Amino acid sequence: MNIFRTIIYISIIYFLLVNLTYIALNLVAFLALKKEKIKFEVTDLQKTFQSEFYKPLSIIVPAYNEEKTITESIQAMLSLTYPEFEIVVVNDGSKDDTLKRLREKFNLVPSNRTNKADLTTAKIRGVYDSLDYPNLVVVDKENGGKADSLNAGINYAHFPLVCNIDADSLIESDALLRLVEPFVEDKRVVAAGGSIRIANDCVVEEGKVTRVKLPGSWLARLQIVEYLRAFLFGRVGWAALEGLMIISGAFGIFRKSHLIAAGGYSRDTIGEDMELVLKLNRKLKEQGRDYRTVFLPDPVCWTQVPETIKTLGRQRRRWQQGLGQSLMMNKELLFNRDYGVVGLLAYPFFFFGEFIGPVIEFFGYISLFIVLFFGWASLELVLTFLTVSILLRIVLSTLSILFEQLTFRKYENLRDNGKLLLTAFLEGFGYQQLHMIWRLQGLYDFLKGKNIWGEQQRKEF
Amino acid sequence: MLTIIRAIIIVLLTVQIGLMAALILYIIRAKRAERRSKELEARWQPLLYEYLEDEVDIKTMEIELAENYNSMWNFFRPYLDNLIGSDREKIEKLLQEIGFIAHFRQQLNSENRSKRIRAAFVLGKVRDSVSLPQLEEMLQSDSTYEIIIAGQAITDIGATELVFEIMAAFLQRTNITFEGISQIIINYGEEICPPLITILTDWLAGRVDLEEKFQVPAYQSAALFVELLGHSRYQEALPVFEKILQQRENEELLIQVLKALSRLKEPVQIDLKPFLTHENRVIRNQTLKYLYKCCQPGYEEQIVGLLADENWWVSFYAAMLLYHNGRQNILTEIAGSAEQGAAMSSYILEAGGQFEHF
Repeated sequence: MNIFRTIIYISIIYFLLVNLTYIALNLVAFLALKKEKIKFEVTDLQKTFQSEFYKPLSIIVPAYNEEKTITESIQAMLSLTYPEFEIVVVNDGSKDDTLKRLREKFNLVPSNRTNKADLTTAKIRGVYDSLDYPNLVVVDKENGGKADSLNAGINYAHFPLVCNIDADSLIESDALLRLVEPFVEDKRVVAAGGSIRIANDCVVEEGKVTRVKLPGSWLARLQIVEYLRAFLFGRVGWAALEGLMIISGAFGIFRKSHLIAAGGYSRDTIGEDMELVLKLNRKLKEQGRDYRTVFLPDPVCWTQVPETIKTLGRQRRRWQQGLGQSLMMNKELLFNRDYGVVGLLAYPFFFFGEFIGPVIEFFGYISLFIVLFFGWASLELVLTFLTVSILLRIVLSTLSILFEQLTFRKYENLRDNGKLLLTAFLEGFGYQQLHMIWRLQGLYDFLKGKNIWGEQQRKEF
Repeated sequence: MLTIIRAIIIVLLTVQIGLMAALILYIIRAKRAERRSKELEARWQPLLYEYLEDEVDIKTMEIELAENYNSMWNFFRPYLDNLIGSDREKIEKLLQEIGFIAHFRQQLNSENRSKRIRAAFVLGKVRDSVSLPQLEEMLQSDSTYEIIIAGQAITDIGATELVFEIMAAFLQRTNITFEGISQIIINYGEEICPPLITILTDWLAGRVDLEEKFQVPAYQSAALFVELLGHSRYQEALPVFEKILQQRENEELLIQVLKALSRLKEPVQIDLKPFLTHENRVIRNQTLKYLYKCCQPGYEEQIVGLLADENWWVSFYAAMLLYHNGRQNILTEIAGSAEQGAAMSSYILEAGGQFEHF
């Protein structure tokens, strides 16, 4: 009895701490979003676009078996609004016709471009320029994974800022201008991340999302609610507290010099995006540098998410495993006040809340069943507790949907928002528990050192 | 325990209902505002064209626009962003007469920072010189963003007498980059160049202490001024640039001057050999780039020597300079020999001198 009671108490304390953090993050995020909204209003993007003082940018696009979407994605990227940029596509030894499609579409010829940084990568098979687009370069290399491809892209990039974008993503036309703005406004900024939104079932014309629609698939809708929570209060909140620990691998900008100094993306983890931000935080703090990593909710990158349980499950397992690897590779941050908010708050939150969270949640559920079975607690008490837990999640999700409305209003009509609310309500009944199981599997994979590589079946936009 | 949890449920349910109501209300209001804004735009647009054609007077416009300042701002912003000349002046006059500018002047004194920032931005766009004292005061704010927007508004208005005050505020009280400062200061247009030349001349003559004035090392502010002059391609800056090159006191400043000279594309009356043989590779590079843009006789020997430079980029630029200035024969000769620089010469010849970003 005692042991189960202890587990339940631990679960309750854990539950309270995690949710209090979420509530605090919401408050901070609300204030930050208000500030961001006024900034959004008074930014003169037209002038910025015409400016010669803007920092040129290298966009690195790793591509592995992306034959279905690659040409359309690159075409869309080439029409982005930005004064001076180049696109470095890295074909990571694709087994399909990714390179062939690129060659045919963009008229590729061998390039004279040389490796400018010394990040170690798999063997480079060839570098190509496009005869039609002078700002497009394709690096063809042997397969080495996403981090390896990003490092290869950094090696061949010309410009001081590098932006990593997934090949299957669509960037809103002025998103780059907005995301580079912090690098101009504040010399301390070393990295900036933007929001990821879900493009499933959206209307896409010439590589641009022209009409935002809610996907028909419930699984995709559930992910919309998750993404809104993660980006609109998770990342906005942590960034406002100077504790940002992750910039999405699908859309982020970095100062190249810092990336190279940090040794580039780590090839030993499948969570290379998080590991990089942690490593940057660690190294820059150790050097005693005054620096900032920022997150902007508005520059948006649209991406497709899995629509089958199997693919989503594999993705979440990978994410959990990547989270564990990134945290372990930077474990000196834990409760280390030398690393500021990252060490004292963000890292412990990710460690206890996100990484080992599913274990506590799992034992919490088991204990509830046991105490019920033996009659140590009444059914009413257990059900009321579960109700609180589900209600809290619904409130947090509703807050994110409200934040979205108060700020950038991608989902405009009442009907879509109604559907999102319903999705938020249903999340607690089955999906949340399924998610916990995937995360547990990811944790198991991490402990076993088993690498689960995921390939998502892409649909053409 | 059960009672506490039940109370929590009631609180959460209340919050949830409140949030849902707020969400629904907000969506309905936002939709309505959007519809109204479209209606206003459809009504105001033909009226504005009539006003610009002098077919409608200010009084009629005032009645029609009816103190709807926020909608007005959304409506007029694209015109203020894109129009110049008499049409723009007419719009500014209209906004003055109908109380729009007075409204935002009042907002500039608001306790609410967001309102102040928005007002400063709007007043800059309408070039309201009356609000200059308040904008100048805003430069002393403790908020970085307020300082930046105030500086931007002053440059939009065109008050060149405040340029150094803006720069001092930016350099001392914000973390804005030099590119960011340049981007804002360049709003002034060419009018800003004479004061920049004056301050640089005074600094070179020892009459002004830039370090004391801007609280950053003197070369940093001087380099910023040089960059702005270069950006404006201001020919009258040439003597000042020559003087800085002659003094050769700071390498960063020399680099900025050479970059500015590349934009000016004007020959200088001083010997560039010391820069072609300078120990700093960036200076050697920038000198080669300048000579590439503005070819001058008398440096061929040094340029050929740089083909064998220890720095790959210097050697690359030297070869490119020779290639694109009709001296391909030199490269062909060296490429076929055992001399240092043969590899680079072959490399450039094989590529036909075609490289991106050069």
